[in-house]
Amino acid sequence: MVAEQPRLPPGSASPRARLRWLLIVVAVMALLTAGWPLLNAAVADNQNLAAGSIRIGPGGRNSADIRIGAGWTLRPAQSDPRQDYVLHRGAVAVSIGYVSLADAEQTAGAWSGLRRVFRVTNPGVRLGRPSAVTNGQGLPGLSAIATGARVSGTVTDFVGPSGAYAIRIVVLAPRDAKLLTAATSLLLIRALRFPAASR
Amino acid sequence: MSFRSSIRAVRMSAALLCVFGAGVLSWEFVRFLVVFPEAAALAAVLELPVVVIGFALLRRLRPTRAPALLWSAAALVWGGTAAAGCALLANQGLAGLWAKSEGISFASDWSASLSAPLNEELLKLCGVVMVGLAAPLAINGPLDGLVYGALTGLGFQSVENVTYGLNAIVMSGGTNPDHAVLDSALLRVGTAGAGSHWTMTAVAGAGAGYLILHTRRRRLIRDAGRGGYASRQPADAPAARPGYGLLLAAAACVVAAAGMHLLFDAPAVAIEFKVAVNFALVAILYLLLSSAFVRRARDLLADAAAAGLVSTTEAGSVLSRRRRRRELRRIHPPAERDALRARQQEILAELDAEAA
Repeated sequence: MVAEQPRLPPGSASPRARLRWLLIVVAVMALLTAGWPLLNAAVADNQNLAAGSIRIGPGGRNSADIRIGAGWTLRPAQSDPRQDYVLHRGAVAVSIGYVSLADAEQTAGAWSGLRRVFRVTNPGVRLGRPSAVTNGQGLPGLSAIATGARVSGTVTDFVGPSGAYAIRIVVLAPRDAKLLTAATSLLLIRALRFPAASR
Repeated sequence: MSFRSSIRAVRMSAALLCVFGAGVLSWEFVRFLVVFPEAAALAAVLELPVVVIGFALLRRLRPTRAPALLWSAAALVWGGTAAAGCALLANQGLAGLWAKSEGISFASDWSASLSAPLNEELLKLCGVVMVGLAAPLAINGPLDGLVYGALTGLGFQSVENVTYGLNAIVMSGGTNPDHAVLDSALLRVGTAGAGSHWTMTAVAGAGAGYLILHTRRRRLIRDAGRGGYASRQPADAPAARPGYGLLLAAAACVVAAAGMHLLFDAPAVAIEFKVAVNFALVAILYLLLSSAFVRRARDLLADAAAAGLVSTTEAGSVLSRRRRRRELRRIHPPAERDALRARQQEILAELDAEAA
């Protein structure tokens, strides 16, 4: 018994040609999907930062500055001056994030929102009860201890003077460096400045 | 290797790539389902009408008859899984390289518009090529490629919109997740939807259609040269060559799609302008391709009617969906109606291949 031949358009690809095209497609997919991440991993993600100020946010009134000392390195691949800076110094990893708040209701819920977002971005790390802190300009914020299986640190949230944005500072390090994280967190909180509050 | 096993290899590879892409997306976003279940569900539900209505409308784009439901769905799924999942990894990798080499300020402005056109357009285009390989009758030319490309782009766009909605929750600090998702959907669907991925991949898909047409024509000419065709030509006739016109058209479409994507992601250009340009470009290409297809189909039908291969009634009704339905309604015995339906589809299948 002869199997029925499938209908094919004139000039349709032969089985070999079809497999050749399949290999091309798979190669393109693999090259893009694995090639860029591998190349990215091969290039060092460290950029030394000079002591000075870094600005986060869209600029103008709705932005913030943080003065940092010497010895910090920036992770460029994970940083965006509008949204997030990822910095390292020794064992300490710092993330300084910018959050847009649409209205007063969101401003009031900034801390509870932070707790939930933190569960998404840092699974396995728990946040303790927040306590009041003030930055170098005397503006109030909230800070809590973060504890995970291997890391610990602090998470601090300041709502900007306009109420339209918040700055979140996450400081994490291995659990045996609690003093270091506490000192770094304190330094960064004191170094945070809102240009709009200075005027 | 037989025809059937080569087709099976293509289909299995495509299915595996879709599973891989879906796995990447799940790994990246599953935590939102745990922490923000309502907002995550809202982000998905808001895209459902876009998928359903877009799927129906884009399939209607094809003149004479809609593309096969199975392969239309396959194109949509490829866009939403294989292409979207792989693009996530590829874009992260390339964006990291831009930030490291050109600085974070440059990357903040330009990495999306320099990474996505290359990565995403190629990954989506692979889906159209896969449909052409998995179902040889599905894509006969640029118009088929345009429709399957648009469906692939729609799948990609819908999943990307869901991920944008989830990322908006983080960017707004998790303070009002539903509001963040709704705002994101309004922007992505309401403002940008008409000129987003479906337009770009439609243009790139037309390029895949030209490429398929080029390879078929080249193979036909080559086979004819080996067999009867060349021997029937006069001795002094010039040798038939496939030419590079179709290949150039294919390349132009892919480059145009990448250009549309670059414009769409470029900073400091009004979104309304970007949407208008992309929509206008795909509309012009569609009108050119579909009118040429219908013109060729009418000519072929007229020739077939003159040769007595189809009746004048068939020639007058078969190209129009409405007239075909009217013809079918006139016939009451189900067996005869089925026979007429089969006859209509047979004529249309011939026309699909010939008119492309």
